Amino acid sequence: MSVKVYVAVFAVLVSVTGVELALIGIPGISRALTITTLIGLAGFKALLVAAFFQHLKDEPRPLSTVLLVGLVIVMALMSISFLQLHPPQS
Amino acid sequence: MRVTSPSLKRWLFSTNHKDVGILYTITSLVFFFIAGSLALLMRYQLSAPFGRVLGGEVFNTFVTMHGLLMILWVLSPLAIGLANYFIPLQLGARDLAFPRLNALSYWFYLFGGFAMVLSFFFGGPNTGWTLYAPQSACTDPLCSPPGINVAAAGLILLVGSITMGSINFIVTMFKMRAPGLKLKYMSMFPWAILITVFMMLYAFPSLLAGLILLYSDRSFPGRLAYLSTAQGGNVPSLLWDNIFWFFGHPEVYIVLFPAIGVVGEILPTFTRRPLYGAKYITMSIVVAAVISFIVWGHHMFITGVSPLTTTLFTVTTIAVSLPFDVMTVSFMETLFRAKIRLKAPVLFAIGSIALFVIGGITGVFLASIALDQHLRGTYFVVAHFHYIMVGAGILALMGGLYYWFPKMTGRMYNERVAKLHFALSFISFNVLYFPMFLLIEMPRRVYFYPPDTGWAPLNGLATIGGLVFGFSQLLLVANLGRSLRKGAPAGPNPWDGWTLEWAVPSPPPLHDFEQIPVITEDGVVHLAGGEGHPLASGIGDGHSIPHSSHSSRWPIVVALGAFVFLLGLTMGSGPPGILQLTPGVVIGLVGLYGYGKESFIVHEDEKVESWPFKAISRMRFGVWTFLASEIVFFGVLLSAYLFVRINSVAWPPLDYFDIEKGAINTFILLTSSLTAVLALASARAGARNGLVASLLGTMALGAYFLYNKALEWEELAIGEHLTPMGSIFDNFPLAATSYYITTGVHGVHVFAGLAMIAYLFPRVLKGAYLRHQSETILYFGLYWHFVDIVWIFLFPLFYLI
Repeated sequence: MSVKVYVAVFAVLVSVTGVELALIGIPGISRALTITTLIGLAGFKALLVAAFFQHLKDEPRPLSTVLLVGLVIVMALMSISFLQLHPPQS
Repeated sequence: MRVTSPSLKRWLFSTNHKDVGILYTITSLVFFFIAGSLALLMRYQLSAPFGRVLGGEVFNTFVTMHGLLMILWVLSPLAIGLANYFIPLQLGARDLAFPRLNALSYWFYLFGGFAMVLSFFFGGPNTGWTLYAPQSACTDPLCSPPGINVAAAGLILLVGSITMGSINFIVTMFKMRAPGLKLKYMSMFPWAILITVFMMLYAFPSLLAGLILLYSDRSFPGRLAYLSTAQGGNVPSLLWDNIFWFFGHPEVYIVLFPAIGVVGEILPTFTRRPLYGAKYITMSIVVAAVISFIVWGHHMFITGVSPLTTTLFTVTTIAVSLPFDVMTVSFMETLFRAKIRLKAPVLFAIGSIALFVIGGITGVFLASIALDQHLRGTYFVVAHFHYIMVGAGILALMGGLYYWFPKMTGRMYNERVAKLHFALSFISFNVLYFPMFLLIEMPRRVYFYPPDTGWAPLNGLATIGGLVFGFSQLLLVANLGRSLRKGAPAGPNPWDGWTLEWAVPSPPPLHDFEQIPVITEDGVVHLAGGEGHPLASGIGDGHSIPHSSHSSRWPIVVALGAFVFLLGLTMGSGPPGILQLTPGVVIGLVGLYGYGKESFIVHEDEKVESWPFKAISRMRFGVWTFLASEIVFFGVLLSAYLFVRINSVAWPPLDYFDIEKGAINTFILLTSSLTAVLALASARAGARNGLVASLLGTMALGAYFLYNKALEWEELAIGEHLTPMGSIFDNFPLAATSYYITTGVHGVHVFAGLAMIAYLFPRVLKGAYLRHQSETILYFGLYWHFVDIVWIFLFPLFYLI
C-alpha cells in the first residue's frame, strides 16, 4: 500500500473528526440522531484504521471473523444496558 | 541466576510442551488437594447443627477460596496440562507455536495461585467466588478484608496466563497441523480444546475488566466508585453481576468442554468403534459455546431486572441445553451394544456421562424463573453445579489422566487400584452430592443451622460421602506415584489408540516425531518407519528433526516480576507508593529485556496444514488474536460506562469534559497512527532515516497525548470543577469513575506502546527491522493502531454526547 493511500486515509480521518465536532454545534438535531451519527462516524473511522493502517483488508478473511466475533459477543453485554433496568432506578 | 541441579533446571526453565504439561498437571493436582481440604473442613463443620469447628468469617473465606481455586486453579489447568502435553502430539507438531510464552503462561498460573493462597493470610476474600459488589468493593473491615486485593492480584495473573495460553493454542492449532491434517480429521479432544481456548480468549477479558473496577474502587475509596457509590441505587451491584457472569457463565463450559473432549477420545478407543455422530458433537460444542455467551442473565433472575431480560435469558438457557442433549445421545449411541473394554479410563468416562445427565437436567430446572425463585441460593444449586463440575468435569479429566498416563511415563498404572478409585469416587460422589438436591430449603454458604430445621441427617450423609470421596483421591496419587517407578512397561500404544500420540514411543522423545507424519486425502496416516503400527500405512514424507530451543530462563523471571509488582500494588491499603512497586518493575524489566535479547530458535515449517490462515505468519496471527481479546476487554469497560450512563440519574452536562483538549488529543493520536504506518512503509522500503523519524514522531505524539491527558485529569479533579458542592467525584461519582478508569486504562495502553518504541529504538538506530525484518514494526503498528481505534470511540462517548 502506498504512502499516498495512508495520507489520504489520514485526511479522511481528520475530516470526519471535524464533522463530529461540527455536528454537536448544529442546533435543532435531535439527541438520538446526534448520538447515532457520532457512533456511526466513530465506527467508520475505526474501520478505516483497521482496513488500511492495520492492513486488515489484505489479511485472510477468517481473521476478521475472529475479531468480529469478539465484537459481537461484547455487544451482547452492551445491549443489556438498554434492556435490564426499566425504568432507570435511583 | 544459577541453578546447578540439572533436573531442577529442567523444570524451572523448560519450554517443551510436555514438561510444561506435566508441570500444569501436577500443580493443578496440588491445588486440588488444597481446595479439597477446605471443602472437607466445611463438610465437617456442617455435619452437625450449630457447626463444629469454624467461625463464620473463616467459613466464608473457605467457601470463597474453595470455589476460586477449584474452578480456576484446578479444573481448567488440569485440562490445559493434558492439552499442553497432547495437542501438539495429536496435531503432529513438535511443540506449541510460542514455547516460551507457554512457559510464561504456566509461571503466571503458578504465581497467581501463590497470590491466591497468600491472600488467605491477609484475611482472605470472604464474598463467595462471585465477589459480589458492593460487599467486595467496600473496604470497611466489616464488609471484606484486605486479602481480597491480593486475591485480585492472583486472579489478574491467572487472566494473563489464560490469555497467553489461548493465543498460543489458537495459533498452534491453526498453523501447525501435520501436512494433510485437515480440521475435519481432528479428534474430539483437539476440537474441544480449540473451542475452549476461543471461549477463554473472549470470556476472560471481562473478568480482568471487572477486577480493575474492583481494585480501583477498593484503592481509591470516595473517588472511584463504580461498585460502591451510594448514589447508584442497585446500579453498582447489577453492573458487577453483569460483568462477572458475562465471564462466569462461559467459564462453566470452558471447564466442561475439555472433559467432553477427553470422553470423546476414550470412548472410541475402548469401544473399538468411531464416535457416533462425531461431526454433530463438534457442531454442538460450537453452538453451545456461542449460546453460552448470552445466558449469563439467568444468574440474575431475582435481582429486580426487567421481565423482558428474564424471559430472554430463560429462552437462551433452555436453548443451551439442547446441544448438550446431542452430545449425550451421541456418547450413549457409541456405547450402545459395543464390546466395551472396561478399563479405568472408560469407567471414568461413562461415570462422567451419567453424572452429567443428572447435573444437566437439574440445570434446566433452574432456567425456569418460577423454580429459580425458590431454588436460587440453596443447596439444590450447590448439588447441580457440583454434578457438572466434579461429576462430569473432574471425573472425565481423571479418566484422561489414566488414559494418557502410560504415554506420559511409559508405564502402566495398577488397573485394580484404579478401578477401586473409580468405584469409591463414583459412589461417594453421589452420597456426597445427591442429598444436597433434597436440601432445597437450606441456604448455601451458611456456616451453621439450628437443629429444628431437620437438615442434620442429610448433611451428615453428605459429609460421610465427602470424606470418602476426598480420601479416595489419595488412591490416584498413590497409584500413579508408585506406577511411575514400578509400573509394567506400557509400550507405545497400550490401548490400540487411533490418534497420533499413540504413534510415538512412550514417553515421547523431546522432539516428539522422528519425521512429521503425513495424512493423505482419505485420512490415512503415513509415518516414518512405522510398519506394523496400527496408525501407519507406509513411510511418511514429512520433514525430519530441525534444531529448536527447549529451554529459557526468562519466562520464570518475567512472571516473578509480574507477581512481585502485583503484590506491591495490592498488599497495602490504598494506592501504592513508588517503593512498593519498584522491585516488581525492576525484576520484570530485567526479565523482559533478557526475554527479548535471548536467541531462542523456533523452527517454522512450510509444509503444514494451516487452512484458513496460510497467508499470515504465526506471530502476526498471535498479535491479532491478542487484539481480539483486547476488543472484548475495552468492550466490557465501555459496557460498564454505558450501563451507568444509561441508568444513572446524574450526569455532567455537555462540555463538562474539555472538548477542545479531547479534540486535540484525537488529532494527536490520529497523526501518530499515520506516523506509525509510515514507519512500517519506511521499514519495508529499507529507509532507515524514514523509520527513525517516523518512530520518533510516533513517540513524541504519544508522549504529548499522555501529557495532555494528565493536565486534563488534574483540572477535572482539582481545577475549575471544584465547586462548593465538592469535586466531580462528589457530584458525579459514576461519571467521574467511568471517565478516569476508561481513559486511565487507555492511557496505560498508550504508555505500553511508548515502552515498545523505547525498546525498538536503539535497534532501529543500528539499522535493524528493515526490509524482510520489518514484521516487528508491523506488530507494533497493529497494537498502536488498535489503541488509536479505542480512542476514536472514547472521544465522542465522553466529550461529545
